[in-house]
Amino acid sequence: MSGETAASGANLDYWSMLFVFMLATFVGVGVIQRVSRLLHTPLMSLTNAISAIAVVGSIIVTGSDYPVEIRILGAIALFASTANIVSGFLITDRMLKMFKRDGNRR
Amino acid sequence: MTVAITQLSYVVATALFILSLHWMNDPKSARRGVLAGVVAMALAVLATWAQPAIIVHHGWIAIAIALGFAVGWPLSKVPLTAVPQRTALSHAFGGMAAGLVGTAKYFLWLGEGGVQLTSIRMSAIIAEIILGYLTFTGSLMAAGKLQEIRWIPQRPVTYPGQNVVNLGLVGFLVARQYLTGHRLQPAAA
Repeated sequence: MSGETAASGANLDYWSMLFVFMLATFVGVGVIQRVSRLLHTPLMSLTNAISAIAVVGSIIVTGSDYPVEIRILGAIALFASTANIVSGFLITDRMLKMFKRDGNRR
Repeated sequence: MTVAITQLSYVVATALFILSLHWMNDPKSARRGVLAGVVAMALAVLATWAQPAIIVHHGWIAIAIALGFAVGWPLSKVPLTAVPQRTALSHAFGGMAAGLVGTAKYFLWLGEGGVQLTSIRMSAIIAEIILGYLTFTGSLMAAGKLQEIRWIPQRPVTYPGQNVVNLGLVGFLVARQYLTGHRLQPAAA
């Protein structure tokens, strides 16, 4: 996709990316602001897992018809991101499960 | 057509990620937040993978993802006292992945003659590589300290003028990478 858009398209890309960045900053601040203190640790590990959305980039690098050495770099990145996603979501859920018990006891 | 499906999936996934964080506000809806995150991530991965015009090496992707599962699963079973180390290690993995994708893109576009390496993309790649590998090494050190590995000193390593040296190193990295990018420009034009 982005391969075909050369210099002129890249400029447009740049401005829309800047808009996305600005909007995402506001959404992020707004969404995080009222998180209760109890949930800070699970929030940390959830955002850690979500940040592994960069996996999308490594899938494209690994699976495209690129030279082998480039695909190897992509595959290592894909492996690392997947490990993050799996362990990040699972451990967040594990923490929250424990939370629920604590909440009931109170 | 497939492009529209992919992009639409990304839009839905993005919305789900925002909801995921939003639901994390309240202990009552927090687990729903995790579920939304999982669905969004699965959607984004499948939408990216299922692009027949771009993705041809399915085996490579399947193997890398399977290995990721094999490592990620036990990493989520660590005792709760080891969770800080796990998070640090996870950060290191994320940083390494970002750095590797940046490196791969650089060499890919360089191999194609460098026309794709516009100054904007070059700046993005430079940021990706510096921040990615800084995160990787820094988080590895943090994970080692938290795990109290023997050969990593617990006390911070300090020396006079440390900040000057560190800032100088960052300046050197940025300048060095800027020059690398700059040298490419005549070839690109």
